[in-house]
Amino acid sequence: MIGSDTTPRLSRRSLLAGAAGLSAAAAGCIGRVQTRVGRSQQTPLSVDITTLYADLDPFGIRIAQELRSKLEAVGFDAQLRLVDVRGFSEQVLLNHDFDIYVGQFPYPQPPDPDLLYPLFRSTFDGALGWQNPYGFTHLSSDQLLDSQRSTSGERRQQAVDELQELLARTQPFVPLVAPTHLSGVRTNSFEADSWNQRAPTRPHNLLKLNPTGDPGTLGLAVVDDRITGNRNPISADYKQGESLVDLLYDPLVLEENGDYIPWLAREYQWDETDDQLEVSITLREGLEWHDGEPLTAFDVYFTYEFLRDTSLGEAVRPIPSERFRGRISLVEAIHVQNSRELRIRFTNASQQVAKRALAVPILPAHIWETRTRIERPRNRSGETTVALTTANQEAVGSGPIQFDQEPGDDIVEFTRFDSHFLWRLRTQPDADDEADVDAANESVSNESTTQPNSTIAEADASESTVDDTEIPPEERFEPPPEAYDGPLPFERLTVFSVGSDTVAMELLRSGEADATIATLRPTEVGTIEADSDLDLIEHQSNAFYHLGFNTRREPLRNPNVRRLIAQVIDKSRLVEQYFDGYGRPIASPLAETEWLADSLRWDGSDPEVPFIGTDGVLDVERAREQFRDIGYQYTADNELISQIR
Amino acid sequence: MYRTQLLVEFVAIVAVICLFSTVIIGRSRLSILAEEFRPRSREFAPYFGVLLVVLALNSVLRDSAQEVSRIIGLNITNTIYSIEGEFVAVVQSFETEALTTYFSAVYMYGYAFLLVFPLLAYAALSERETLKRLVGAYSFNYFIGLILYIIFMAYGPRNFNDVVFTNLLYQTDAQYQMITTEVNDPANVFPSLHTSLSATVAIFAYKTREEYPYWLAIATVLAVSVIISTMYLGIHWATDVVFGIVLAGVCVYLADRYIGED
Repeated sequence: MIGSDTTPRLSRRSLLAGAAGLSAAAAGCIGRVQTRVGRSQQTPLSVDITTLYADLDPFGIRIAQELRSKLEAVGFDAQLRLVDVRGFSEQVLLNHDFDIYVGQFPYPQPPDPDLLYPLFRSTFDGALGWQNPYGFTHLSSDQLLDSQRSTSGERRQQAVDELQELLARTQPFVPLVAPTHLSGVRTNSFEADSWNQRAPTRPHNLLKLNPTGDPGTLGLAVVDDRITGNRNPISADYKQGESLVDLLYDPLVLEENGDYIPWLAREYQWDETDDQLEVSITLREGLEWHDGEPLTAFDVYFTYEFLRDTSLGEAVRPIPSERFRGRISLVEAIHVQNSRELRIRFTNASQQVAKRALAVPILPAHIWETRTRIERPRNRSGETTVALTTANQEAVGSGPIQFDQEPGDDIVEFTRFDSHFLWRLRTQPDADDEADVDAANESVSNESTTQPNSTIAEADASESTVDDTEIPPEERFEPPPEAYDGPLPFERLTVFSVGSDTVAMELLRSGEADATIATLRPTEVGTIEADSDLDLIEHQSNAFYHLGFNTRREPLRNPNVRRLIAQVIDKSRLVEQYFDGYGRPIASPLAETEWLADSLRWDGSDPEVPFIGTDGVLDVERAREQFRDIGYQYTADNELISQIR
Repeated sequence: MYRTQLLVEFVAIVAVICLFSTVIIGRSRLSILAEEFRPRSREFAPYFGVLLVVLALNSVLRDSAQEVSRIIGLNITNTIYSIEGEFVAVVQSFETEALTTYFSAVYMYGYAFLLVFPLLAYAALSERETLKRLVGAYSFNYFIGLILYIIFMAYGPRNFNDVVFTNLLYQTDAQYQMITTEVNDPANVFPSLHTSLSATVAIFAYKTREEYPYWLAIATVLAVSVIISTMYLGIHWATDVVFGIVLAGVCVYLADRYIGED
């Protein structure tokens, strides 16, 4: 419950507390709680609403303004705090210095329900990043989160239903609107078919593009300064689910619309015995890092250890990654068999859930093992490591693109990584003519020994790599996954980081960019439709807008208050008024998935926390009455004050 | 590069406007300026040097200043909003396509012309003090502006509420954002430097009305247009504008008091 709240943070509030002579961390906390409680008896309950400013996200601010005016109407003293993407990460995700935030769910793909595990499991209170920023602790929720991991079929659905219902009842956060994401794409440089209603916001979709001519440069206009300046795949990030950083680092398997595509893993085999779930993984042949070093099973082993504790045992308490902790918690042990084979043993989990653990980015051990030094930077509440604070400019990964240069503050250039397994069969010089047929045959037989479930000595593996060089690539390597086996999409990828959707559109219009990766206002639709070289892509996104409550703080600690706050907002009205219809109202975080509980289907109004009022007009009297019912009071000026003790 | 192309275009347009406006300066003054170019530029150099230093400081410190501002700065957006309410929305309610085009052009080109042209015009004057004071006043504006940016944090109307306050800049804004990073910084709207610098130029134009009567008329119209455009386009609050005008007054006073001989 206390978690990071007891640690000092660099906010105005704590500076003021410090100025008042409360220097010790614990004293600062007590001081703050006291002033809050003390003040709330005389002055109205006050809440901050943190959100991105309009240029970065035009919808968040609209919702925040709506919420502010409704909260003021029922007697709160509500203030807006506008931040940029980095400010959001620092204040909300790293320091938990917020009351209510308005933001987008960080996973734009419809997720597996296990995604809720790190978000709401009480063990992640105090963790950083998108890992229980709410400080939500609930015994039944913990049980349901555990049970959906270990069960499958109907029983899992039942656990997931109950979990959704519990979250709807207790409202640690309020799912509001699943937006229809709009992107503008240029169809004279890449074929319209290959955009094919695929959101360019999903990085891997870019690998499926067909250029109209020879592969050239793909230009992207991005409203989010993350990819320029910071390319760290394991630090907290506002929009973590759809970052282009995903193209720099490869996972073992790629999660795609509920499917799991073997990626670095050529194949994987499940082995379930005595309640013990294991998977055997064989990596693809000849994998390399961008710097030419070989990628081996040891790197995989290292990654999982490192994500668990980025200090690798140096710190008294582990300093885990700010991402992927839910996934990492599924892994119990890893056994490296040789440079290309390993076995992973899971904790109590079904195959369906365990697969998620295979979708974390694999890091090069030779680079990250030097980043274990412990640091205490001023913008973080506790100890951290270089690994989590580094901007990772060079971003040496194994992904299909590699960092080339950053010619300005707001431009970054990547090149296609031709040794990548997606491209190497098509880009590496054809070895056909020189290949000795015998050598080829020999190696084919050699290769058959490297099938899973056979044990080969490491010496064998290294010998076979010597032989491999003489074999034509198409026989040496497995073909890439089918969905990615089309023509080469581009040679270079240039990302322009711009200040607003307006500028992103201007770059698209001028031909500099081929797609916008931005939250476009519906007003831009006309501009796109007017230009015959541009196409509009509408894509139903799971990155739903929601309110997040800091349940560590008064009065948001109280679920009754959270429910009433949820009820002052008319979700259907939000969609009509602020999204121009590009979105739909929702009542569950799984609303855009097949896992949605029947009881939480939208039926004209919210089934659990219906709006208090009609057609967007709040019934202020009724709302105040409800606040009185849960023990709050109003002053003569209709200001809401705290419960009487 | 598109950005470079825009920048070249922008400079070219402003240069052409300046060139045509040399009519205001008059042939005789220009020929004297041409003759005395060397000694005069030697005399003005230190003042321009200070201005360049302040501008460099501004661009170097802007990022870290914003960082510091976020930690120690006072966020006054709500205060501003409670003072003036939806005044900017009222200004914006006069929106027409012609006005938007006019104010966007004024905001970009008019403003640049307003700042650059008097440098040329005053360099051609026989007395040297006006130019020194003008350049000094520019430096004060940027320097005090930077300090105020650190102390205060305020988001502009269109970032505060983009439903009530519309962003009318559209394409012009996009082009402008690409050639300057100034507008890109949405936490720095208090006070309005567009306003304070325009007002500074207008005050100087009034002081030199004897030498350049037409310039007074042009500068006044342009300065008022730039000031209105900052609100019409949803970039600044009326409060930013008021304090921008106050800042202009302070800077002109400081320049008169401490720069030059008489």
